[in-house]
Amino acid sequence: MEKKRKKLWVAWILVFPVLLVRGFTTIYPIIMTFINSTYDMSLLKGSDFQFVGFSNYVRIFSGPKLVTSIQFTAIFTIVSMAFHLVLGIMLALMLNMKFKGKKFLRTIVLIPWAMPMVVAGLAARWAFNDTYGLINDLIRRFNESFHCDWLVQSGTARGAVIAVDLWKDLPFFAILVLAALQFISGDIYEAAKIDGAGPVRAFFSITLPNIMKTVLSLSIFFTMWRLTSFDVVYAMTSGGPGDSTTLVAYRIMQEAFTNLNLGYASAIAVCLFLVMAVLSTLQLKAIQKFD
Amino acid sequence: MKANTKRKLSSIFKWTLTIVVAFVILLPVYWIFISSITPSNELFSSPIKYIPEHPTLDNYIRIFTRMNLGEKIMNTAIITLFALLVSTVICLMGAYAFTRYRSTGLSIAYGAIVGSALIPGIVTARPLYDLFKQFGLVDTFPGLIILYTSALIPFTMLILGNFLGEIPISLDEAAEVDGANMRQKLFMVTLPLMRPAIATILIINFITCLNDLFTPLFFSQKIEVLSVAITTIPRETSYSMPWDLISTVGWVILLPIIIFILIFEKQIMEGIMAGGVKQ
Repeated sequence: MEKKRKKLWVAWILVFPVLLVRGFTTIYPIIMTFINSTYDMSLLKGSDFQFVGFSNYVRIFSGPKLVTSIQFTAIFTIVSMAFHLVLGIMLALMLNMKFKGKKFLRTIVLIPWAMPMVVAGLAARWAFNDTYGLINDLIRRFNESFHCDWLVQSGTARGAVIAVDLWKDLPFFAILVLAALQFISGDIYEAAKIDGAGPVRAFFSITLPNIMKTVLSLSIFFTMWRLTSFDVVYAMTSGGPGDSTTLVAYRIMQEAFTNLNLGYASAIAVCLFLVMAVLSTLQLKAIQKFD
Repeated sequence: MKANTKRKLSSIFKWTLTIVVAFVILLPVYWIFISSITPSNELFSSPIKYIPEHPTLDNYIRIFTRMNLGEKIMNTAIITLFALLVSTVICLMGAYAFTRYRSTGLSIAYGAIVGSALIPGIVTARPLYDLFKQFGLVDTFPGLIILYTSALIPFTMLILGNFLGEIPISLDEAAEVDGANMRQKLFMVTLPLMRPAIATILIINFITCLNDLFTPLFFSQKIEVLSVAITTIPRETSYSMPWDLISTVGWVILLPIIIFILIFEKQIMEGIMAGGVKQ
């Protein structure tokens, strides 16, 4: 017993550096964010901070800029996730196909995943340019008189941002679904084939139930990442035109580092964090129900 | 005969899908490449020439001489190298403790470390910035290395923890019976077995470091890394953005990544899937 306790002491020493670094960079600042959210900390007004209780939170829903942000973040997350689920599973099925091009396909899908979002976003800023962009150039090969300045109108700009997000992250989602697909044994499909089930029937009664749990838990992570997306908008639209593509994460950073409204920024951050906590709990519940 | 036709059709179907996916993914990447080797005056013209008529390395010379890109590559390399080294070493220590010792406190600590991956950077950024400022860590290499290391920890811990958990403790014990001390057990038994997991984690973390924009953007002004450098290219022409130079810097970032993928496709795939299945 004495020896075992001594050993546990060794374990904590080994764990200490990791805990120190993570604690220092996440636990302390998250507590501070909660505290700051109840103060009027506008650095431009001076450094005499007033305790204001929940008034920063009240301001969240009265500011039209933030309402636009919340709206777009919701659209962005829902639309992007819908496509992730449908196209992501389709791409995963493709990655699982047995044919000579398997290695080629698996290699190229890694490129968007590994490419920094800032590179993809900046390239997209130019690709969606009316005159010189890649997208319109391709369209003009079929319809010569086509003109559209995608990032200047809010509707098309929002669509373009979602498209780039999908281009970059869908392959990653598909690779993770592929991991689940590989666990389904080929025998089940053979048996189904003998019983006369076609490929569509086999997909809905064998494949989908088998990967559902993985897909749902992946959805938690991918939803959270959508809710906190920052890079894509920073590189591609700077939140514009107007504020139409200003995701909440981008708004928080603007308030915190540009407008220096620390209290207000913290209040938005806390709300976002709570929304994430609620959403992931709900999704976890859904997964448990599935078992 | 019929089975043969069917197989042919299925093969055509699979290749058609593959070509569509390849087109969607590779065309933009190829377009960035040709933009970087097209002379600027030809670049700002329409339609796009997919096979450049006068390929040139002019843009590459410009970014290295005028933009001082060499220094930015060095900054990125230094930060990435140290972050990879520190995160791997401390996570190996942690993973060893988490898998070889059992206690409620340790389980909670493990859960907290892996779970903290879900805490978004935007929620912690501003207070962290003020804290780093107090310690004089903003705009310094140690400060950036700490932040990069911290960002790598949850995933690294998850993968190394899973992998170490699968190496039976009996191997350790057998070595102990043979008279091996702690150091020998670690360096002659455990670490050699860990080699594939460490290689995978290093490859994936390398890509993660190159991808990080958020950390260097807010925690340093003077020390510029590649992902930030590409956003601060000054406009030299009247066009709305310096696409000639952006595409060139973009390709400087993409080239090592693509080479990495071509060499390590299998390890990267397995690493990503290992993280996905066991969360």
